[in-house]
Amino acid sequence: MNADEFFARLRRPTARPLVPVEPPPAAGPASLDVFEAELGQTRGQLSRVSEAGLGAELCRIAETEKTRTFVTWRTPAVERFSVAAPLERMGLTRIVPPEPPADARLAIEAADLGIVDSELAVVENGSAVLWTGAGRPRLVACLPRVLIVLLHDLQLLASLEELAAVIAARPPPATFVLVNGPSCTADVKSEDLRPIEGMHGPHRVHVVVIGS
Amino acid sequence: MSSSKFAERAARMMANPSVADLRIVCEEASRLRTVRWASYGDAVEQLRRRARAIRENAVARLDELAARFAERATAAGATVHFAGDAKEAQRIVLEIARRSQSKLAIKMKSMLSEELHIRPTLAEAGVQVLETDLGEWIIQLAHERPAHIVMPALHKSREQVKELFDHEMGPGPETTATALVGRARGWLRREFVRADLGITGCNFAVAETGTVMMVENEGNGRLSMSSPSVNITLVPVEKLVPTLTEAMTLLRLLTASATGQKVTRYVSFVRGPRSADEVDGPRELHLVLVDNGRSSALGTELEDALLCLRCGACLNICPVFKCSSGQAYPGAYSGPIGIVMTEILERSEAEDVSHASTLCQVCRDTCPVRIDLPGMIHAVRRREVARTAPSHRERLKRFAEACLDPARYAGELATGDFAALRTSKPVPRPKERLRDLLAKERQ
Repeated sequence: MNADEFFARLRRPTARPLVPVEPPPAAGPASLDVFEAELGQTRGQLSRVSEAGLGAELCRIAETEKTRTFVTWRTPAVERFSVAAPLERMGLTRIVPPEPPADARLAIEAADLGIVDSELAVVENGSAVLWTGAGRPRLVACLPRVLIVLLHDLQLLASLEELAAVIAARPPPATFVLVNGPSCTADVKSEDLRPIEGMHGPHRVHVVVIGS
Repeated sequence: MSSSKFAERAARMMANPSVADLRIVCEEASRLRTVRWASYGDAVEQLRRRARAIRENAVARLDELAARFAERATAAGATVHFAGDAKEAQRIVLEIARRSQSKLAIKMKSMLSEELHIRPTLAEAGVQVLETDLGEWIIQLAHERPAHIVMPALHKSREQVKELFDHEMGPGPETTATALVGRARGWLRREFVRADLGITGCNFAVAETGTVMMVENEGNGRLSMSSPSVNITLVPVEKLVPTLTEAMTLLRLLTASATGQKVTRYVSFVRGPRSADEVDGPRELHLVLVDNGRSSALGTELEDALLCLRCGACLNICPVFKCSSGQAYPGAYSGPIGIVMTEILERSEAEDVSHASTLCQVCRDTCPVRIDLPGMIHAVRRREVARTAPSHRERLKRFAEACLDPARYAGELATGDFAALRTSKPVPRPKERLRDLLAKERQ
């Protein structure tokens, strides 16, 4: 069916007047404490570190989670914070995805730990907002067993509607995703009807806030 | 009610002991929704009014939104297709699969793909299609239909799931939920990294940017979108919204009403295929806008069914659904909204399903956007009667024939079929009361 025919059949036989739309409910405070509490509700773990303490925190998480290989985004922040160096020093193997147009999925799948970064977080539901694109493969946040999200130069947004306003003010991104904790499922009934963590995505999500 | 296909299927499901589990899970989902709504306080009513207005305005100008969405998505590099009906949608999907020489497709849960029979269509053409939502995969292994639009395998016990997994993967050790989830993850992961086609659904489509939004907890949607080099996203036209801000409001109400979550673990927003400097994501992104009968509801008494967010709250609260499960319903959609959607989309399949409701009104109060489901179910019943009831002449003929056959007369009287002979004309009131007539006779 051509586009014009398709649009024509979606036209209502008689016009229906538009109704006024109320504003969204007032958002709560955009505080890091509330963000941490919300993230905790969805089993995400948050830690706050100084720039100098970041390496030690990454090593602590890698050791606790028993990871042996890692993959990172190639962003200015990952370079600026020298994310890979302390992990390599403690013996983890860094996996570097191939250059485009090669297929990166098998390489990324071999990593236990994925490290990504962001400047945006939504407080009301404890979401880290990840932009993907060049140097920011989508699968780094999907395939590894453990995900670390570095939040730096943080802009905390009170609500999802505020996030929409921030995005509307920029050139539209090709993709972005809200991450709210480890992947989970309730499709196999657990003994207490709680979701089981670690379905297709990460089993654990650590959000590390850098700076004050 | 006389014996019927819905009643027969519902009776079979009621005899299945694991349907009791379905009731428990539905009631737990309803409880979680109630708790979440209560946590918003008075704001929940403001949210519901706002969401209702957003949906009403979107349905009032679907043609404009579809045109804008197609223009913006095309500008972002996606290929937009237009499917008037299920056959056309199947043809589009098949062509893409053939042209890209796809052999293995991974698919996220999408009610639209159930409605369009996408999996069997591709399978017939030799493309292996793997459901990757855990519940849908269980249903695929069991060769069944989904029992619920949000939780498709909730009628399956852990023991039944283990049996299905053992049959597919070989014997496994445990029946704990954690062990079963771990086995499914390992098995499906191998397919994620070798699939060449991804098929995804869409919770909302944002017209101003040409973006599709996907809501999920498992991460299979993100993998189905990001891993294969070709992606097909099926977009039901009624899911169009004008702006991202409005989509965010609907997102909040959708997840709160479906599972009691503030938002799901992942919410993905995808606007175009991968760029030349990216190493993953689809090289081809095909967005298939699907009508398949939805436009026939515009301007009718069933139009408000298009406001539905597909949260499943009306299913979780419906006494008929909780006893019978989605498998008793004839179409892809079940529960109160399913009765109306079946009438809109697959009228020939509507059968007697309009009677699968007590009209208790609870679904209307539970619906986050306050769709008058009981009113519409009543309208579907009227349509069904108009389609199926015999003419007055035929009814009189049947009555005359029955009068000559005492056994048949008694039978039809017992089943109440003569009720159809009643007319809407009022019965004339007798001039004298019966007791007065009898008194006169006695004198």
